[in-house]
Amino acid sequence: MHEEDRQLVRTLIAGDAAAFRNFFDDYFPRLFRFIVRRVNGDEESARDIVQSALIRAVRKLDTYRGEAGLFTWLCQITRRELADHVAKSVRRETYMRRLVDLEDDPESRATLESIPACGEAEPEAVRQREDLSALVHTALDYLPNQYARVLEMKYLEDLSVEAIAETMGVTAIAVQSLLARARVAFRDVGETLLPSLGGFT
Amino acid sequence: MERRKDEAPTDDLAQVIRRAGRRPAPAPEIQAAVRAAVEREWTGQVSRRARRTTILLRIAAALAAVAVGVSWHALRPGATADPVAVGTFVAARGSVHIAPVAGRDWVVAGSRLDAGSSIETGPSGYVLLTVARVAMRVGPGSLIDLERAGHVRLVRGRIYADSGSPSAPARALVIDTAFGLVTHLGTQFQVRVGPAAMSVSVRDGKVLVSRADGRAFTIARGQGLRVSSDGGVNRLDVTPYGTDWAWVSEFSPSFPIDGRPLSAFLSWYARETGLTLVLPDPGIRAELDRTILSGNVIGLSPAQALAAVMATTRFEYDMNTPGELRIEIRATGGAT
Repeated sequence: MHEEDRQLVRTLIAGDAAAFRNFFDDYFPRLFRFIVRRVNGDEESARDIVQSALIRAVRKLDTYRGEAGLFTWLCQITRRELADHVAKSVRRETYMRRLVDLEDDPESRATLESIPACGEAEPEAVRQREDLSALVHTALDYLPNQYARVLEMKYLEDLSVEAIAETMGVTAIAVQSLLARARVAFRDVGETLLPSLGGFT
Repeated sequence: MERRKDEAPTDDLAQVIRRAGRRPAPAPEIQAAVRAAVEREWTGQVSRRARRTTILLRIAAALAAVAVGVSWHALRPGATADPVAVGTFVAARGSVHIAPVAGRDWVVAGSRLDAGSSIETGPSGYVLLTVARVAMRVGPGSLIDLERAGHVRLVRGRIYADSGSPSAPARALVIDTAFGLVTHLGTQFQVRVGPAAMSVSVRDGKVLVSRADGRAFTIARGQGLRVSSDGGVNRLDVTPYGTDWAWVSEFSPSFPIDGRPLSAFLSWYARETGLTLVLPDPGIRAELDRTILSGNVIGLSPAQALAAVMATTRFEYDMNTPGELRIEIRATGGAT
């Protein structure tokens, strides 16, 4: 059970404005990236799809039970919106083929779903394995937000463990533990998305 | 030698993350537009749930009241709900009605305004308040509801918002109107709502106007937008000064001049009026910084304050060029 996600949903249902800000700021960018890759970078379409998906999600928040991570749940809704969008699109055949790829990749799905709060498999990334940046970004989006955040602070912002601890409001030991778990989770995703290259490392 | 996954050096992992760089972020305009649309839906859902809960509570309360002889009024939802502070009252002038006011029957500067409060101004009424750390002015003939933190419904009338310098931290403020949502992206703008149209004018920074049909418009400095009740949307060119903004200066917070340099006062005046401060002689800047003011201008309008302050200095001002406040050293006379 994803108790942290359930708690966030409970506070959203209660009308907590801060919870809404956290929810939106955390999930919107990840869902937007999730979709924009699938519509060939068409940001207007991605905006429409993610907006429709999030509106649908807030209407049915009370159906979220926490069996899957919240991101996974949102991805499912967003994927249905994408399917609706594709059905209306002249490019239907191309996109549907990609969606089928997603459903036909059980190994990717199993690995990704085994990660806490992880999303669905990534057809674009699987199809474009040579695009390492896209894959790394995809992998980070799949991770729980605090995993991705700590990895970016450590390796992109070059912050010390102590500085990260101060930023996150936790102890340095907790940051080290979080970093260790984040590295393992990141490598798990990397090996799934890039098996022929032995993962990211 | 093969290494275990959890023993792999972190250098490789660091390298791959660094090579990939930052994850691309959605454009702020897109993010703001989607946020406004989703927040509107979420707010509606929360309100509908609250109404359902209220009805159930009232039924339960009425039954309990009958059973134990307790007054219904003691059990109404408002009697037990914890109020949420969403704003702060600063000052008012003229005919003004504010209700309810947290914890007392009157308001003073600094009084807390809770979610659910409404402010109504008559033909001569002005109100200054802060919401989401944004300074707001409510003009005559207005009705606003402070629905929740950072969310103000402008039913009719006019609102001016100023979040301070452009470098100030972003504020989450949304003005909700029947014609669409106006999302504050910084820093000075006004919204007017009438029976047939809404107009938005931006003095500095930019705002995002989102329509219920999903269309969104970014309005930047010197631009405006008029949205009609028939759905028509027109972009406008606006000046950051002049008659459209005159009401903003009718009732404004006083600038505390005592002990402050003249340059700070002039910068405040220029910001209040939308004018550009022009110093033809670059050397004047240092002199303005060195000129320290004393006393106060409480109760004076910005124009009155400018006249009063400048009369005590060796500088003179000229506003004959539209949009400019020119400062020069007076030929003769002056003090301080």
